[in-house]
Amino acid sequence: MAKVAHFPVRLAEAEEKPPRAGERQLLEAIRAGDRAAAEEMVERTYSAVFASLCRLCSDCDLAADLTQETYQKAWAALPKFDGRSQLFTWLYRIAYTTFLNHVRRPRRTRSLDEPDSVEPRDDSAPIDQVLADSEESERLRVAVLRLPDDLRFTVTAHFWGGLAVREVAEIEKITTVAIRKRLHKAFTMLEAMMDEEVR
Amino acid sequence: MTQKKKAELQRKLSIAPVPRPPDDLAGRIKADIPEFLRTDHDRKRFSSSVAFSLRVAASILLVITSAFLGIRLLSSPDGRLITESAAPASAAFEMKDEQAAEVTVMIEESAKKEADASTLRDVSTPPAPAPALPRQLAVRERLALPPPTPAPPAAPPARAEMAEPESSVAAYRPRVVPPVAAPPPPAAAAPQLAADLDKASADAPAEARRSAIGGASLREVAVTPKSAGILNTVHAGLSYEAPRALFDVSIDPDEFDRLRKMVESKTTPEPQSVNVEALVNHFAGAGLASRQDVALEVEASLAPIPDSPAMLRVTIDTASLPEEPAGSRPPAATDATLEIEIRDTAVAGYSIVGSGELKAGERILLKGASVTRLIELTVKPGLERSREVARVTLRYRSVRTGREVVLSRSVLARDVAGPWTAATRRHRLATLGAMWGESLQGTASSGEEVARKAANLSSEEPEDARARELAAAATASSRLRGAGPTGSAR
Repeated sequence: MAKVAHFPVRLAEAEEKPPRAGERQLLEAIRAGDRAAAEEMVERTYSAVFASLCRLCSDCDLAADLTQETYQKAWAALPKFDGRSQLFTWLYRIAYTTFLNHVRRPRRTRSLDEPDSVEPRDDSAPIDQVLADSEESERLRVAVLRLPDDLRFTVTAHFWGGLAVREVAEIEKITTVAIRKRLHKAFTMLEAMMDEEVR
Repeated sequence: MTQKKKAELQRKLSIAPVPRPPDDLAGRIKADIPEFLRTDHDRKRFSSSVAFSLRVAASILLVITSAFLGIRLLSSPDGRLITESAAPASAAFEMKDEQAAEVTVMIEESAKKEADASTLRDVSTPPAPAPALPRQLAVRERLALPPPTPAPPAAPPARAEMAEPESSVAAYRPRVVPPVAAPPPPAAAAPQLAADLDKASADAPAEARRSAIGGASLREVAVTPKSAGILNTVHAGLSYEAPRALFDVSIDPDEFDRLRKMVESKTTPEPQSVNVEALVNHFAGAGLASRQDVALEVEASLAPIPDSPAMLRVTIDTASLPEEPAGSRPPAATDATLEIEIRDTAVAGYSIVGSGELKAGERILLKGASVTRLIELTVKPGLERSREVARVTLRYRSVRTGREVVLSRSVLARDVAGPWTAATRRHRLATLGAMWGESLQGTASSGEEVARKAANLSSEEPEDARARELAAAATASSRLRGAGPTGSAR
């Protein structure tokens, strides 16, 4: 697991870089045309974006493509970003929308050679554990994706995107209490779905 | 859901391992960073776009405000913009060409000033240079009229005499004397405007032109060119003679003068030439300044001569003019209809003084106009005093508000039974005038009785010139004819 990032990704980096440390200056520098600042922003955030997308779609190659697409959209939308929310929160929203757009797109022809499930690139990880985790994760992922829209976004943003309840509440423009109620409801539904699948 | 299961689910969701991103992903993303990242341009562009929109909005507001102020400034002091001259030309009285109306207002104002000036100055004196009229210039520029040409010599002045001041305010009746032959000079300037006005005048049906204000006809007035060249030989503004009839009631203002001169010269008027309606309207005169657009006055009483039918008077007064009218009067109402319903259950018979019908209409009612219709009523005996004898309804559309107005008055039996001496002075004068006219026709009671009652009226208010005039004329006619024939042919 040495090369596997855990969520929230920023937990590991939080000690070194506070979430909003220098974020405003970074944004100002990007708006001023500083390419190095833009690259720094990518460095800071792309892993988390990729991870959240990877959890959403369970396909790392696809997640990488969606991550790239997310940033392309982010550059275009940067002038409209007012900086009131965290940069990653804003990016996660774009990533989630990108994922939804991908899911809603007409199905493209997929090669039979391509694996459907998560295929960790870490060859050194114990294969049994990886497979077990992988199977459990996939069932959970499918269940999460079957949740209603609002519950699905809340769960994925909080657990897979690493956003705090307050940040999810800001995105959804509702109270934190409402988010917690959503989470509770989502857990109930997930449990029911997982149990149903086991039976 | 138990806390344990919930915690387990949270754990699964939270700590699920996620593979690291591909090594080249950061490079791919960085390669997509656009070359021009500066968002200042976009923000400035957005700001400038907003600013542009605001400027456009401000410009529109400015234009609207300017147009409003312009119209207000170009309007005459009483706020009228529509003139009577524009109305009949369009036949349906729709101000489709507001600019033309404005120009007409100014042309008429110019004609009025010129007429005033011309009556005061010596004919042999060449006209003094007129002061510049910026409003007219502005309109000329707006309409892209050609520049004024030098004034032709000896252009005939416009004639628009004012009515002689009357001693009685209550009996004031504006009178516009038609100008003497004033052929328009050859239009040397402003050909487009002149052509347009010519066309409008020619296009309007003759009937529409005549009936626009109760028979008033369109007439061209030659405007003396301004020596300063502001308005050169402009085709006349359209002016009107005094209306000769309203609601099919003759209101010829010259009728009384004609008859008076005849009786004073001891000439007996031809009975069929006597216009009783015109006499009624002459003596009824104009009402006091009305705050309404149109006022309806209905009054009934016994006849001034005993054993004659009761008299019902219906008078319509339009709003008075703020200044003495000369060449133009603004409209007060359009599409006016007057309907007098006589209840046959209460009335044994009726007779309209003069001619005409109980229902009549006018397409346009100008300000400063008055018309009186008299009807003789013979009510059935033993009628309840509260019984309705007649109902008078006047409908019109106000030019000021654009709304349709309905004025309705009910005439009861007790109104008709009221003594003549208790009636208003206007009513008494109008009915006496009718009696005098009918005596001249030989269809009514003696002129002596009329003269006596007119003398009584005059003595009540010595300042009332009309009562004095009527007393004098009735006395003269009674002497001329001796005892007039009695009885009525109707």
